[in-house]
Amino acid sequence: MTFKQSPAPYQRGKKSTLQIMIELTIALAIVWIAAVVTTFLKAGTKYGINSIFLMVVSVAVTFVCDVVVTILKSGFKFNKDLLVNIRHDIIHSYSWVTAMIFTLCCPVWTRYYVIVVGSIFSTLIGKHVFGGFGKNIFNPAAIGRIFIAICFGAELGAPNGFGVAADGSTGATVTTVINSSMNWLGDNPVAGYKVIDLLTGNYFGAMGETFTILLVVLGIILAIRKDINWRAPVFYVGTVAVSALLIGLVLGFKNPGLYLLYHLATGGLLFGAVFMITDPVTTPTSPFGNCLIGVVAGLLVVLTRIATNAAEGVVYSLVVVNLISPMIDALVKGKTSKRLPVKYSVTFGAAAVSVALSIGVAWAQNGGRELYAINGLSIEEYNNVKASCNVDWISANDYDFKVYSKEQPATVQAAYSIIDKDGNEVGVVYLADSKLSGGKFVIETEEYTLSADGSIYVVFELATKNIVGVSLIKGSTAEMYNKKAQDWYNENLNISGGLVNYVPAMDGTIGASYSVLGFQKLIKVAYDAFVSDYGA
Amino acid sequence: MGLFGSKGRNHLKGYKELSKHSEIINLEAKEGMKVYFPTMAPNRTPITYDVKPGDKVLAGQRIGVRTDFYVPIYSSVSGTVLANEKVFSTQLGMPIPHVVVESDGKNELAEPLKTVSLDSSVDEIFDAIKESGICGMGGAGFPTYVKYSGKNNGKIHTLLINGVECEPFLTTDFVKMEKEADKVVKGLELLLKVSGATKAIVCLKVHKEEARDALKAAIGNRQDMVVREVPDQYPMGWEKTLVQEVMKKSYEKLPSEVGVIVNNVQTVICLGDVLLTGHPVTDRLVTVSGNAIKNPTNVNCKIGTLAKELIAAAGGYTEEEISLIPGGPMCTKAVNTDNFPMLLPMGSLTILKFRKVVADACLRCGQCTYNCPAQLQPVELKRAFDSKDVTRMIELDAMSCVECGTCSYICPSHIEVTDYVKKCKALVRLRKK
Repeated sequence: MTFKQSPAPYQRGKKSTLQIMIELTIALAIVWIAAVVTTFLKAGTKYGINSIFLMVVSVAVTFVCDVVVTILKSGFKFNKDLLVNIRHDIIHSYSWVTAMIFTLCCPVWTRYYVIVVGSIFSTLIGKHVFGGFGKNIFNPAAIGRIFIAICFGAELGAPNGFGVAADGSTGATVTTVINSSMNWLGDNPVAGYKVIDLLTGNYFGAMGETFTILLVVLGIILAIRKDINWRAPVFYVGTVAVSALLIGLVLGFKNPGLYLLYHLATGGLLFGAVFMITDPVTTPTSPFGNCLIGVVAGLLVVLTRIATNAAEGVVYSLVVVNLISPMIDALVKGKTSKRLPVKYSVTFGAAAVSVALSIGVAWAQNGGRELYAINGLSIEEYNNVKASCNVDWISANDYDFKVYSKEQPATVQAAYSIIDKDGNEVGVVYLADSKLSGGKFVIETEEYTLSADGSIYVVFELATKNIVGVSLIKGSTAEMYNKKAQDWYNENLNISGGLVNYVPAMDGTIGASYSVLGFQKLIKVAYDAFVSDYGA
Repeated sequence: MGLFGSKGRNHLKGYKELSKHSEIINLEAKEGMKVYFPTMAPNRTPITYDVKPGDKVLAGQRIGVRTDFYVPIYSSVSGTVLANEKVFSTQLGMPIPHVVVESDGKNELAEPLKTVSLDSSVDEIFDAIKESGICGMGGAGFPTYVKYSGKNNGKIHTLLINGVECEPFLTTDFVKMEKEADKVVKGLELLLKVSGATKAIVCLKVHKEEARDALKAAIGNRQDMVVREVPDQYPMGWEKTLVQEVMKKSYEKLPSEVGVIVNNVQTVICLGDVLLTGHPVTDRLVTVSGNAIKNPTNVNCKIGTLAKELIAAAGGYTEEEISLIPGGPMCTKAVNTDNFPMLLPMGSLTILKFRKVVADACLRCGQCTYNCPAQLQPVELKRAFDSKDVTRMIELDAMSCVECGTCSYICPSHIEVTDYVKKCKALVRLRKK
């Protein structure tokens, strides 16, 4: 009989880390199964099989990484201990959870080599170089996802049949369309996507991110079972939700509820909230810290969406809060129950500031269109001109831009051909019985990459017969287009006496600027119409 | 628990049924049995003895006194003083010399101390408490009279009597309350008088109907005493948690800040006994329980009896590798010998089958922070210990830890968090010296 010594206490709770990880695995597996079923039903066998094997490959690769790391750590001593260590490391690195999260962050059309590279990056660079499970700084899955987004961005675009653009053939996914069409500001941007689709996952995105209701239910179950901490996800989603709702209301969108839903149900926000921001290793340990990173991450998501070129902000927001988590941990001193007024005011103050900042940025982005829309006209004047003008255009499709009209005018004054960049006539523009208002003549059109409200405005002043203003383009790449268009406009149009040196091929050098090209053509058409009506 | 604080309470499996209703074994002071009295108090101050080897002593005879706080030591048996012997002290964690008294088996009682009654003055009662030598019997061993000294005059309105016994396995409070409920009331009458409090609340956990009913019957229609059932959660028996639960108030250092004195229920029973009869405490009820002892039960033994005799009385060990815990399994550290005396504050011996705990990597889930009753951040303290950052440990208020063991209990990676925090406290103490 021996008296054994070990530290107190001698009674221990039942829950183990392995159990937490297994419960997380089950939750992830449920999401995965939902993704597999949806893919088989919606995209057919080929992609269905893809959805199964992407996961299998990813998990297999991560196990291989674990084994390699264990062998490296052993100093290439191949003996019995190594097998024991390998078994231990595979189980206690919990790498399969990382691999599952990573795979569910990727769309079903992801190439296998992309998954392999990302999985290796997640496990080796994201986790093992820091010393393995429990020591990594960044969420390994998020790091892997960002890595493949940077390296294989083009491959991740939606292939034929998955896109949401009208012709279904472009590489746009739901979030890229939301981003490019309205920069996350505006009403229902993706035709044909109903509320029920957004809630049940009846659209294509990353495999795990689309099942809104399922994710909410799983999140609640995991939080009740204490596998995840509810604070960070609640503050995360809460900040985004309040910001989105208030943006919708303040900017007067027609359907703020739908706008809110787009923010919550697309772009992987809920998947990130349930499975990624809850990663305990890379987030603060204190309750206060958890609330705070939720707010910060929420702010980052909203700002990334509405104010930057990136279509999705979730993984970026997670990695940034991973970065500030050690700092928050270091700031929380003493007892957690002390200095509560400070903690409450910091958390909710940060939340209020975040929401206000998001609204402000959204308002500036949205309002900014009109602020620099018409050079030389106040917004009010511009609106008056626009409202009183009777110019109608019938629809004409161009390679570069579309011109929409409400109806064909009763009397057509003039017709102008719209020529695409190869010189082919692709449509006709009719000038109706134009009426003038306040000496201004306004032409509206709809541009290839839509401006913020879907139109570009060209305004002429009758007295001088000059173009006094052109509304500029809004969108993900607006800045570059605007600069180009503005330069061109300054060089060619804003000269007393009218249009000179019209060079339609000016953007041939950068190739991508069909928008600018279309923009120029639009102005040309407008100018021609104007000259024909009132003389040069 | 709030948004930023911690819950600090967990339901533990109690294992109380093992010894709750077992027949109490009375360990008589037979001829030749030795009892041991330490020569050092838990804080390492010496205890001086005015007996020498060969002296005859009687049960209840004063043989020594502690030198910092005035705490007289009384012999628990009658017999002969032997030469000092070095045995293990659980309070100090090392072997120290003990004064040994060999029983003559007669248990002759010494002259009683001065008795008091309800008619005595407050000062007389206070002096009697001081003279009784009684220390907190819940485990801390803090001299009881200090709580009732003059500096709290007029500030105390409530006595909280702690019969919660939140550690698993322990049942002595329960048994005592059930069997000696009238003594609780008698002791409380005196304590109410000496403290000037108007109300006494006897707290015990839910599902202890027998004890509750006995207490209620003993209290009868009295308006100044109530029985209060508290949730079966750990560490409900910690003063701070108990005051928070019952009074809905929190304090910084001592319960007297919010007008409350907390006493263990057995302290009250013993005080009543000693003050009314004049005979100092010589016996103590000890729970001997666990999953590696043959007959888990309560043992009534003389103070200073060696633990191994209690274990033998309970049938001995049943496992080869055991953890012998001189207290409850949550707070107390196992010892490597059973050759130590049971002193007045020690109410239990827990004997568990040894279980090796294999730790996983810390995943920083913060469960220890979310469950710390002292509202600390054990995970951060562990990190501070890993980097030996004593400044950070002080920042994190390491010294407020009461070593209740909840953080290790809750840790899903089975890390010895409590042990790390204890080490932090040791480092902070070194820094402060």
